[in-house]
Amino acid sequence: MKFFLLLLTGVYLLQAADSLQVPLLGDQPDGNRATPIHHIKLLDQDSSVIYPDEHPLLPFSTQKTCGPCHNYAVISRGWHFNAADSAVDAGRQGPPFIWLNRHALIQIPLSYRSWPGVFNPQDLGITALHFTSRFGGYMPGGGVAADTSLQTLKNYWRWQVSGQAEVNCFACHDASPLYDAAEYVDQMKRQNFRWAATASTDLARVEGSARNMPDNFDLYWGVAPDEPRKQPPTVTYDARRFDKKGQVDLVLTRKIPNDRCYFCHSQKFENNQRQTEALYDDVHLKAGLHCVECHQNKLDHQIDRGLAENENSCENCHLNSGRFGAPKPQHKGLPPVHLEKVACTTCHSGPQPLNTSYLAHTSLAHELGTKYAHREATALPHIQAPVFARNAQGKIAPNYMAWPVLWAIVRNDSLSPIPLEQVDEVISPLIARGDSLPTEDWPLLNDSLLTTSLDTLAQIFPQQQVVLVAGTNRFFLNSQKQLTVQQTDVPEPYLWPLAHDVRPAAQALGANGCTDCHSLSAPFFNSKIRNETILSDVQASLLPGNRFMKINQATANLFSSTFLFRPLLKIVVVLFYLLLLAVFVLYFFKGINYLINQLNQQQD
Amino acid sequence: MFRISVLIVLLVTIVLYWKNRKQHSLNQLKNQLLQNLKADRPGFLKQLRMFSFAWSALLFVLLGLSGFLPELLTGHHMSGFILVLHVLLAPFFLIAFTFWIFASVKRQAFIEKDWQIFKQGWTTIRSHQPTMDKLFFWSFFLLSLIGIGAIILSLFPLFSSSGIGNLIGIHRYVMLLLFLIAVVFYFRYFSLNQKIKIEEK
Repeated sequence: MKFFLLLLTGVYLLQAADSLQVPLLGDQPDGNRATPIHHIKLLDQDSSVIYPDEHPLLPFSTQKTCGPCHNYAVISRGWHFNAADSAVDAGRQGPPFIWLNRHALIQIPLSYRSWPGVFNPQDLGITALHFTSRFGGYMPGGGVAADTSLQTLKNYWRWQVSGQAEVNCFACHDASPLYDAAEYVDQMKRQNFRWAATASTDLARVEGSARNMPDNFDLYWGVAPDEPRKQPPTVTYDARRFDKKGQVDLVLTRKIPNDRCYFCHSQKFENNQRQTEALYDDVHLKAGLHCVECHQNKLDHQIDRGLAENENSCENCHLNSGRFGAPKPQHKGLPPVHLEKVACTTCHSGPQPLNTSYLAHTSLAHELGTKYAHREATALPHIQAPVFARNAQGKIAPNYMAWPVLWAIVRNDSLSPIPLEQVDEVISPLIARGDSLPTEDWPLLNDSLLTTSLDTLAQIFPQQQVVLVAGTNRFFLNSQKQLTVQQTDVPEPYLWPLAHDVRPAAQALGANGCTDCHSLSAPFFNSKIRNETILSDVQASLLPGNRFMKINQATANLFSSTFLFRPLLKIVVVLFYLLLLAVFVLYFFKGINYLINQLNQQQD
Repeated sequence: MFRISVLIVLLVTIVLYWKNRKQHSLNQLKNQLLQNLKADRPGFLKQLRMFSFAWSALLFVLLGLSGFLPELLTGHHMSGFILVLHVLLAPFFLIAFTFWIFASVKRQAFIEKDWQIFKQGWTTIRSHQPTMDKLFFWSFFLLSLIGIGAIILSLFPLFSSSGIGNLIGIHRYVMLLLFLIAVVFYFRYFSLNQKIKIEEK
C-alpha cells in the first residue's frame, strides 16, 4: 500500500513538474520585435563543441545546438514532423509524396497520414529508410526520418550508418541567401541523414555518401581498410566562420523567408502563360505579406493551414478582423449563395480553369529546384489541376489530383496492391528493354508488352487475378489470356486542395460576369479531367471534370442556359415592373388627392 | 428563422383550412369564382382579368411551393432544379400579374362609398366585402411591388453580396407575408359565404 501511495505521489509530482516546465530562452518572444542574433557554439550529436580544425569532424546536431534554448521535444511534434504519429489527427488533405517508377508503371500517392485516397508506405512494403532517402529531401527532418519506432530491424545497421535526420531548423529559419535546400535533397538521397542539415547551410561542405558505406561503417574511425575507394561522408567547416571560442554567427529568423517555403511548396502549371511569365503572382505576396503571416505557428509548430477556423484564414481576415489591411470584399452582384456553396479558392486560387485541366508540377512530386527535376511538360507523376470537388464542409473547391497507377491482386472485389519491390523486380526489366525514348512520360507500351507483364506477375500469384489499375482503367487477362480493359471507380484518385497563387478580384472567376461559370461552354462546369490511360488507344482519355462536384449536370446546364436569355428577361421584367409601379404611383396620388379634398370638405 | 416563419404560415393555413373545412371544397371555390365572374361585365377586360388571374394564381402557388418547401423540408435555400424552376416561372408570374393588375385596378380603386365605410371603423370595414376585397387587393399590390422590386434590384451588380442577401431576405419575407394574405383572403371567401347563407336562411 505504501509503495502504491509512493508511486502515485511520484507520478503526480512528475506531472506537476511537467506542467510547471519553465519555458526555455527562445521558446517565446520576450516582446522585443528585433530579430535575435545567434552567436553560438555548434554542438555535435555527442554534445561536444565543434572546432573546425579537430578530427574526426562530425556534423552539428540541431537537437544539441538549438535544444538548450528551444524546446526540441515540443517542436518535433509539429505539423511538419508528425505525419507518422498515429495519435495525430490526419487533418485536411495535403500534398502527398508520389512513389514513381516509370518502368514498373507505378505512380502511387503516399502519406503516413490517413487521408482518403493515399496509400500508407508501410502497406506497400516501403520502409522508413527507403521513404526518407527518397523523399526526405523535401521533409525538414524529424518525424519519419528520426522515428525509431518506424525503423525495421532489417535496416538497423543502415540507420546506424546514415544516422537520423534530426529536425532541420535551418530548412525554414535560415535567412542566409546561401542556404542550399537542393544540397539537402542531394544529401538525403545519399543517405547522409545525419549530415544533411549541416551540408545545406553555408557553414560547411559534406562530401561522400553513407549509402555507399558498408553496414559496419564507423562514424569515428572512418572507412574500413577493405573499402578504400569509397568516400565516407566527410564534413569540412568553413574555419573563417568560427571565432576563437568556437562560436559562429547564424542568420536565423522567426519571420521565415518565402524562399524557404517555396522550395517544398512550389507549383507550376503547364501551358499557363500567365504563371510562367510572372512567378510569385500571389496577390498577398505582391502586397508585401509573407507566407508565414497567414500560415503562423507557435512553439508547438502546428502551422495554420488556412482552415476557416484559423485566425488568419481568408474569412477571418477579409470578413471579420481586417487584419493586415485585408479589404472587405464587395462581391458586387454575387448572390450570397455562392459564399455558402463555393470556397474562396474556387474563384480566387490557381490558374483560371480551361476546357481541360492543366498538368501541374509540384516541388514534392517533381523535385523542382534540384538537378533531379522532371522538367518535361508531360513529365511523371501526372498531377492535374484545377479539379473542382466538394470539400469536408460541402463547399466546391479547387484541388490537385493524382490518379494511382499500381499493380494489384483482386481479393473479394477489393484491390490488394502488390509490394513495390516485387513489381520492380519483375516488371521494370520487361518494360525497360523496349524503352529507348528519352522521355519523362510513361514509356511507350503495347498490348503484348502489357499482356506479358500481367502474365509474368500472374505466375508469381497463381490462382489470383492480377490487375494493373491506371486511372479508371483496369487491365487484366481474361480466361483466354487476352488483355482486357474494364472501367472502374476503385481506387479513387487522390485530391488535395489548391490554394495558391491567390488571384485578386479583377482576375477572379466571375469578374467578367455570371457567364464566367454559368454558360454552356464555361470550364467551371464543363471542363474535362485527364484519365491516366497508360495505353494511348484506351478509351475515355478525358472524363467529365464535374464528377467530384456532386452536381446534376443536366440542372447545371439548364441553369446555365437561362443565362442565354437573361438580358432579354431582365429588360422584360424591368419594363413590366415599371408599368406596375407607374399604376401604383398614379392611384396613390389619386388617392392622396381624394383624401385631401375630403379633408378640405370636412373643414369647410 | 425563415424556416420557423414558413412553419408558422403553414400552421395558420392548416388552422384556417380546419376551421373552414365544412364550407371549403374545390367545387365551392369554382362556384364562387363563377358567381363573381357572372357579376362582372362581359367584354375583353373580363376575359383578360379571368385569364391573367388564373395564370397569376397558378404561378403564385408554384412559386410559393418552390420557394418555401425546400426551406421547410431541408432548412436550406432552394437550389438545383427547384431554383431553375423558380427563376423561370417568376417572369411569367410578373407578366400575368401585371395584366391582372391592369385589368382590375380600376374596379379596385377606392370610391366615395369606401371612404364612408372607412370612417365608420374596422368593424364595418370587416363586414363589407367589396371594401375588404379592395384592401386585400391594394395590400397585395403594394407587397408585390416591394417583393418583386427587391429581387429585380438583386439581378443587377449594384449591391455587394451582403446587400443582395438583404434584398433576397426582403423578397422572401415579403412574399411569405403575401402568401399569408393570399391564404387569409382565400379562406375568407368561404367563411363570408357561409355567413351570408346563414343570414339568408
